[in-house]
Amino acid sequence: MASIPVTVLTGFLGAGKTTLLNRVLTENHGRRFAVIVNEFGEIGIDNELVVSSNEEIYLMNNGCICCSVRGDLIRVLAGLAKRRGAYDAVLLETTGLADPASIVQTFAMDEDTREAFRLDSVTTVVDALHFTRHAAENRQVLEQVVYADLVILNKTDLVAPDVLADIRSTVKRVNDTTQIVAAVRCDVPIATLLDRDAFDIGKLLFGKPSTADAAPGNHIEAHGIESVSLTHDGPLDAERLGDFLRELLQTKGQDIYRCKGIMDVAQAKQRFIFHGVHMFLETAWGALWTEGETRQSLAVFIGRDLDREALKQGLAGCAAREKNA
Amino acid sequence: MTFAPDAELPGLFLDNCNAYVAGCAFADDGETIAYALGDGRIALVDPETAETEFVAAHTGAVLCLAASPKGFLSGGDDGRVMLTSLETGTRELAAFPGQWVEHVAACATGRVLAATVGKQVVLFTGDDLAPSLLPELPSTIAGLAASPDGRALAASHYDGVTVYAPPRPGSTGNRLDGPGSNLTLVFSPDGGKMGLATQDKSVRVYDLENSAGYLLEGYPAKVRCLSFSSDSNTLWTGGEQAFVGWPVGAETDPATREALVFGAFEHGLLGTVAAHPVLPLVAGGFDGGVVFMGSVDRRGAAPLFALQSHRVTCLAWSPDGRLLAGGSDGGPAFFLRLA
Repeated sequence: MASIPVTVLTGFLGAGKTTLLNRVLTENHGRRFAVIVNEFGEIGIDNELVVSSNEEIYLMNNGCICCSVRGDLIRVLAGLAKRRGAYDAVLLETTGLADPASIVQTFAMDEDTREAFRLDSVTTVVDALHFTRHAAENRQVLEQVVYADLVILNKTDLVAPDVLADIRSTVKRVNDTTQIVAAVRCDVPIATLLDRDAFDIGKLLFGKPSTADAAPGNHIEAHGIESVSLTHDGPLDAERLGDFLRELLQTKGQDIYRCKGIMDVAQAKQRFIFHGVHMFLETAWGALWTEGETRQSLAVFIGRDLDREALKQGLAGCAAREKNA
Repeated sequence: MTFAPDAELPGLFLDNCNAYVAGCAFADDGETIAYALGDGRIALVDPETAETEFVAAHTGAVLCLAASPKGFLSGGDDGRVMLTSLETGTRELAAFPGQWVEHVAACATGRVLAATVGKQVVLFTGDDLAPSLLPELPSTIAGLAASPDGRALAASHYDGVTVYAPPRPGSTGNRLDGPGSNLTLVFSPDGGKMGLATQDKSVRVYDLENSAGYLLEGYPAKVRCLSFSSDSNTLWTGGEQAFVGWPVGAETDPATREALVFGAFEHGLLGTVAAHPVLPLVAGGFDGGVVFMGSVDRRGAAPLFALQSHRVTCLAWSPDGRLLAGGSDGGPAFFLRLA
């Protein structure tokens, strides 16, 4: 059974989420959408299948203090599954203050949800005019960028180029692999938003660590949130790597929003892939290393007040002790 | 379109409803089976003749279904609660535009007809079945069940279950603790116990007579279905690639409680389960579409047939236990006459 793609539209209050939503719905693309909105707002939504859902965040009883799922999302998607065939994809518009972490965790942790649906993209609308002030006042503004695979930099006609440059560098600093698209009144081609498959563990995107490290500081308050990219040459020990990641997330998971990595594990023909959201960690075997390819491990940690040196050391400590052919 | 006999298994009748089968139920006289469909229709089937009548009960999907002596009670994503029977057709009991009616419950005595809308239980009382909303619960209701005698109605929600005994307009109910996100809820046939599935791959049992409760754990997946045996002493659950039956009778020492597990099926989880109303049998629908029959005496189960679907979504026995009905997410539905 093919899973139905879900696109999450997030962004701070007034950033332009509803404008974007209506743009997607009114463009002639031949797709039928089911739309989940937080509440029926004043701006009408021009679509047949609109569901209102109030955010209900439920903690899990699995000993993980930051594992939460969106109970309302599980319920609404289960209901929409009964109308399979009446729509091709789902658009989920969050509140301006929503934390995408629980949405991402819902798709990762609830079997029923992940069986019928797949998280295709988290698209975050950034209000260029107010980003600097909003980011200073609310950490959520940056957290929404952390989980985005696509950032729509909106209202670019209202600000000076140096402000845009500041915002871009901040976005890159907290999430160096996200795609940034500049827009005026969210006028982005709809094809940019759909069929991204950005949360497929086999297709994780990675930036260039060198450029991410070079993202300069600027006038925007980042609340200590940054992205740390690391590389490691030489094979790692699978068991030690697993222990390191588990231990790290167990103790620092609250501050580590996301982590992902494509690792070279000793004696493995395939890439070892991991992806985590707070304490929740998912692992898989990825594509085969090809003959003669330089096997390099690449990991990214995004979080608050990360200790780059400790992460680097930790990763280095996972090195396979001896080279067995 | 009508149910046709299967070529291989005597007594089996199959049909494709061409919509998600959200639920099925037997009228209390066993003479009508209702199937609730994802396109808003309810199929009413006479199991004697296999004649099928479709009633357009809802405009969106039918989300839930329950049988009562007054007719089949259903809720839909059109926000309406409907009462449907072959004799009187379908009529609206209440409408909550813009909301979903995700759960309905009724009992065989006809004493309770109830539905949920968001955080509230709706009771339908009096000769005219007038709706009355009970006070709001702390979160959206994720499960609703009526005891077979109608003396109690219970709703599950975040961090607990609220029991209304008796269910009356205006009653605030009695809150039972149950930390976390709580889902499917069932009463035992004797009304003395409740089983509750949680988001955390566990099942909570409430012993209402002794005001006790305990947690059953060890599932590899979220439990989607629960069913008490006819003697109320075994709780059958899904959440495993097999049938899982927990002894929940008073004579079982909690410290040594161990589940009876049989009917292992390596291709999918048990997604729906229904204990026979009289005999020590249990029917189960596994992901992949296979329907199994388990025998408690033999401690084993065998596949009966497979539906061309991904998941078996519902199973129900006729009150006398001579018929089994069920449906699936892809549209195929069945009923089976037991020899």
